[in-house]
Order: sequence, then C-alpha cells, then structure tokens
Amino acid sequence: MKSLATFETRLLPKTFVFELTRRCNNHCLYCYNEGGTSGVVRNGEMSTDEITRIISKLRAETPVESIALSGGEPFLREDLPEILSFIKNQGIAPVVITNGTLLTPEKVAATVADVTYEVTLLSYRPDVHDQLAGRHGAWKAAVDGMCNIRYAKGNAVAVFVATKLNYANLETTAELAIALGASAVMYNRLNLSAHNLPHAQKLLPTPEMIRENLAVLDALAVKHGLPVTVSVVIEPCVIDVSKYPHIHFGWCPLAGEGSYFTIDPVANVRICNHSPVILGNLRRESFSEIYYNHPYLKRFRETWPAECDNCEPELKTLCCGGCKASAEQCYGTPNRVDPFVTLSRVGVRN
Amino acid sequence: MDTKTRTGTVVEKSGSFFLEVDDKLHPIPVGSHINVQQLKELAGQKVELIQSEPKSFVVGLVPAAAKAGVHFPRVLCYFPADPYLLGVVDEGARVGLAKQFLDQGVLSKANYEKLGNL
Repeated sequence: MKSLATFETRLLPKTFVFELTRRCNNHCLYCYNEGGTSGVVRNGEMSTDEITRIISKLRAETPVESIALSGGEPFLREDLPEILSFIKNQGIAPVVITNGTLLTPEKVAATVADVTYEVTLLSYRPDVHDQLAGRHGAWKAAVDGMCNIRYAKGNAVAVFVATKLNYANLETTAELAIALGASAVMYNRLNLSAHNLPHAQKLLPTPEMIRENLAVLDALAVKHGLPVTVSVVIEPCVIDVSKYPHIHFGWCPLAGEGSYFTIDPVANVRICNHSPVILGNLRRESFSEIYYNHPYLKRFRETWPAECDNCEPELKTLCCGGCKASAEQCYGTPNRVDPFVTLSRVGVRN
Repeated sequence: MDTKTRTGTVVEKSGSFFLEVDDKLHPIPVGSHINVQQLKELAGQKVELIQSEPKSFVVGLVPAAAKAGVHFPRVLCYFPADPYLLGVVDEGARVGLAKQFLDQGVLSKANYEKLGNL
C-alpha cells in the first residue's frame, strides 16, 4: 500500500502530455480544456524547433519513456509528423490523443509507424456522437479515420467519454470499436471542469449508469478479450470497482513518479491535463526544479479533502481523494473532494 | 473466453519484478497500470491471478492477504504487455462484428473493405 506519510516524490515521471495547440475543430460539450474550442490561436504556439528543444530538455532531465501529444486537436498542426519523428528518434514512445476527424489516409501514412492513436468514439450512432462533439460529420470522419489506421496496420485505442447522453450506447459502441480494429477501449466518465460544469445536469452520468456501463465492459472484456481501462478516477466510495475484475482502473498518481505532467502550447507546466494550475515554464526553468521545489506540488500531494477523513485507510490511499484537479477547476482548491463524489451523492442542481 | 484462477508470487530481482508461476518467472512491466512502489509492496507475497483463456493474458493480481471482506480494487496490472502495446481481441470476433455493422448500415461498404482481414 502507498503510505501517505512516505509517498515517493524523488523519482521523476516517465510519461508526459504535450498539448501542441489549443485549436480544435470539434466543440465537445464535455471538454475539460479551459482553452476552449474557438479555433483561434490563444497566446501563441511554439514553433517546431521550440517543441523539439523542450522534448530534448525533458529527455535530458527525466527518464521519459512516453509522450502523449494532445491539444486541442494535434492534427491541426501541420508539423505533427515531424514532431512524432523527433520523439521516436529520441527513443520515446509516442501517443496521439485525437478526435479522429483529420485522420485522412495521407495523415495516417505520415504518422502511423510506432504510434498509438487514442481516438474518441462517443457512440455507434452518428447523431449522438455529433451532438456531444458539437459538430455535424464528426462521427463519420472519426470512423473513417479509424478505418484508415486499421488499413495502415496502425494501433488505435477507442476512447468513450460516458455522459447521460451516450451511456446507453456503450455496448454497441464498444463492439463497433472492436470491429474498427481498436486494440483496447478506454472508458472515462465525464470529468467535471470549469468549462463543462454548466452542462453537468445534462451530462453527468449517475452512479447507476456507470455501474451498468462497467458491467457491460467487464463482460465484453471476457467475451472478446478486449482490454478495458478506466482512466478518470471512479471513487470506490461511490462505486465498488472490485466488482469488475477484468477492467483496469487508474488512480491519481498524486504528482509522483507515475504522473503525466502536462506541457501546454507555450511550454507552461501543469500537474496533469485536467489541472488548471501553471507551475512554471520550461522555456525558463528546468522540469526537475519545478518538480522538486514548487510549493503547490507539496500541497497537492499531502493535503486531503476533509470529506475523506472517515474513509477506510486502504481506500483512501488508493483513491487519493479522487481527481484533485477537477476539484481545483470547480472549487478553486484541491482540498475539496472531487465534485463527481459530491454530485453523485446529492444530485446535480441547477 | 473463460476465466480461471491461479496463484503466483511476486519476485523482485535486480530492481525488476517478476511473477513466479509453476517455477517460471514472467516479467511484470511497470507502467501507468502499476508502479514500482506498488510492486515493492507486493514482492514476496502470494497473489491470485485473474487470467483469461485461451490468450494466457493475465489481467489482474489480487494480494491474497487483502481479500477478506475488503472492498478493494483487484486489478493491479496487465502482463505480458500493457493494453496499449498488445491488442488481444480475437480476430474472428472482430470480423464478425464488422460484418454485423455492415449489414446494419453502420459501416459503409468502402470502410468494411478497408478493415479487411489482417
């Protein structure tokens, strides 16, 4: 068990998320990114050279093994193939987190070697997917894109973001993901943020809906050998996740070795892609300087929500109070419990 | 795909971790699914394996001592490979589902043909 008192902070992380752009061609209702989806370049973006310099800096300073390129929509950057080649030449495994709509045969061919694509597939129904993605035609383009990955013998993971609007479509959507050649399914419940909080009543799935979804996925994992991961924390005080033994559940690594610190389009560093708190900038500072010395990280690692005081110690040390970044986004502090926990208990009010 | 339960022991050797089952050592990859600290805590312990057949794909380890009466997430790791590195979906099942979605009009004929049989 992890110990609260001796939580390891000395080892540097091996995984990073690099948000290449804030621009996006979708307008997802559930998006947690505070940058929005206006398609406008906000506060600039780094050039290709600047990005490769930052990656070299991480390579020199940390034991980085994997970098996930995200956004916005990373395929909106014309230099994505060049950036991916650079990452691979550094011996780092690349992942591209994409809405899939720009995965033309040409763009897939230019990027596919040794890349894992995480492609959002919100429903087997075009109308439901497009409603959540905020754009007509998004489903067709994403499905075409997954077919192009399969045709190019690439590796894709389908990402399902569970909301009230699409949870009932999960089983058929996961089967469609299998048909499209997905090597795994990632299931994320809606993670609340300042950006999507106004839609919480409309979107946030209830615990009952999530239980239903997890049972479906557990059965599909057994039936088809489908690897299923849950990335956004589902707190065990809300749902007993031990009932779904064929699903891998992720937990907050508390800004430690297993974390995926996130670099934004202008080199600002955050704890993860959900956190709004900027810790420093890699143009001016070293990563290890931020990692070892920033006072917010100590607070993030060591402060626990008062709501968790009476929790079983084993669950508490595993769950880590849920998504503190979500609490920071919605309440302005990581010291409150994940709003998913609160809203699951009291319901969502206007 | 049926499941069956076996037991093994987590072993640490020169900083790497292995699962010893039937006198054979299987490397446990460290990644986003399980970290070094968690494996250190499991080292030397007997664990119950949740293993799927016929793929010999271990999807979870359950510390034997942590089972009784505790609502505790059981799945700690995947091996021999992280799901991001290894898809284990049965190809026959995939082809059958693709045909089903073609028949239902969800997949176009062009996309169905593109998916093909690899």
